[in-house]
Amino acid sequence: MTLATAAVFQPVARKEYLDRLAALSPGPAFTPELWTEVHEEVQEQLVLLEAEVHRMVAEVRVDAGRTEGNRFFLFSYRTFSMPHSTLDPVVAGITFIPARQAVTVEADVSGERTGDWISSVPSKTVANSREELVAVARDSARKLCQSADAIAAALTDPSRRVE
Amino acid sequence: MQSPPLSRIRRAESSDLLNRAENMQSTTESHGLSLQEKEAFVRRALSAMTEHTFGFICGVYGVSSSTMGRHYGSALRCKLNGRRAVLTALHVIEEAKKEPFGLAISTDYGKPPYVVQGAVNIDPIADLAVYFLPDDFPYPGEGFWPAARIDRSLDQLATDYLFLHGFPGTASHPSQLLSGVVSKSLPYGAMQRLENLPPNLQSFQFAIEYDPVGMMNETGAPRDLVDPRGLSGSPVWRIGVSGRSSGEWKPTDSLLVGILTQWRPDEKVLIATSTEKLPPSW
Repeated sequence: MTLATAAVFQPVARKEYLDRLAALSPGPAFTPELWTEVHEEVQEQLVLLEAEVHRMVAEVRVDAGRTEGNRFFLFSYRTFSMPHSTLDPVVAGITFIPARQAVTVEADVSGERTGDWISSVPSKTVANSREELVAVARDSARKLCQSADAIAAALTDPSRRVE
Repeated sequence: MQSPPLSRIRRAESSDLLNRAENMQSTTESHGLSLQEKEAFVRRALSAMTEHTFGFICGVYGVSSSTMGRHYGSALRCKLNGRRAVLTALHVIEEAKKEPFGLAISTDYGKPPYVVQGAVNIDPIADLAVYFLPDDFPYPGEGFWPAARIDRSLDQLATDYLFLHGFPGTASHPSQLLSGVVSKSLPYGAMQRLENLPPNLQSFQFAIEYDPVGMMNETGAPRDLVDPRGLSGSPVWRIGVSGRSSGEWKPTDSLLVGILTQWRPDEKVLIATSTEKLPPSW
């Protein structure tokens, strides 16, 4: 006896429940590694901001970090606070928000607890590639570095005291 | 100018990380493909999966005489614990064994089948059987599905596209010309069924949509239902696009998730035993 097996049938597909299929758009591949790369790029640039604020407010304490959540892929930030003070710390950070087949990049400086606006960079939408995403992250972080004066002022503004 | 306390919202959401599945679903929903794009994607993926998986599937036959046999089911050639094996449904083995000259599995096109001798490992509850191939089994090493691509967690079963590939009995017939049996394979893709399930579905089983209405081929044109009998023992994969960019997907992202064991025409589903049920000793 011999056997002859062949893939002759045309493939057959069904399309019910495709709403559940969690396939991402063919734009940038949003892997955890990508967001780590983006976070590191942002933090590398924010070193300059930290140095500049430190030059103006010697006693400032700076913490770096990142979070992610339901409505955004990544929030990469530095928090500036005054030790032994009730002044609201200042957060300078960049948020990467899902948009249809793209990512919106928003950079701003605001109060940690009150959310008071201190400065911001015009948002940008990225759709083409990982390289473009990293480049926009770098550019937005560099623009945030121009907020050193505003951050230093906020950290010494007595009206920003919180309970 | 006062804006909402964005920072506080972001910090609060970091606690959402505790629920990773919910997070991922929400992110992919807002950043996924449209339904139309998903349809086009799965049609393209089917062709790639058909080609990629054909080299790993085989037929299970009962040997009725020295020159003829009968098709009973399908199977997967795979590596388990470093050993070459054939994985199928137990009831396929049991039925094929009833033929006068025992059971055999297909090897290569136009070649004699390999007659199974020796012990077959079985799990009657899961309806699974594995036959560890002796060294003289004539098939190259690359024709065995790697153990590293067997998904035993199944966390992404419901959000991925499922694909099965086997030999339906209605497409298998004896050939005097070849002095043997000719079988055509059926590549089939669908999502997991999560509602209106058969009442006695076990926790180690999952259901795959198989409704005669709504079949389409890779161009999107309607297709008639293929009688799935004989597909028992067919491997079921998730194609591996869940949580990934569809633009970067390739068939080597696919993972084995189950073995087909039943057809429930009343509920219009196929039932598979999940790879979670594979005994570690296999």
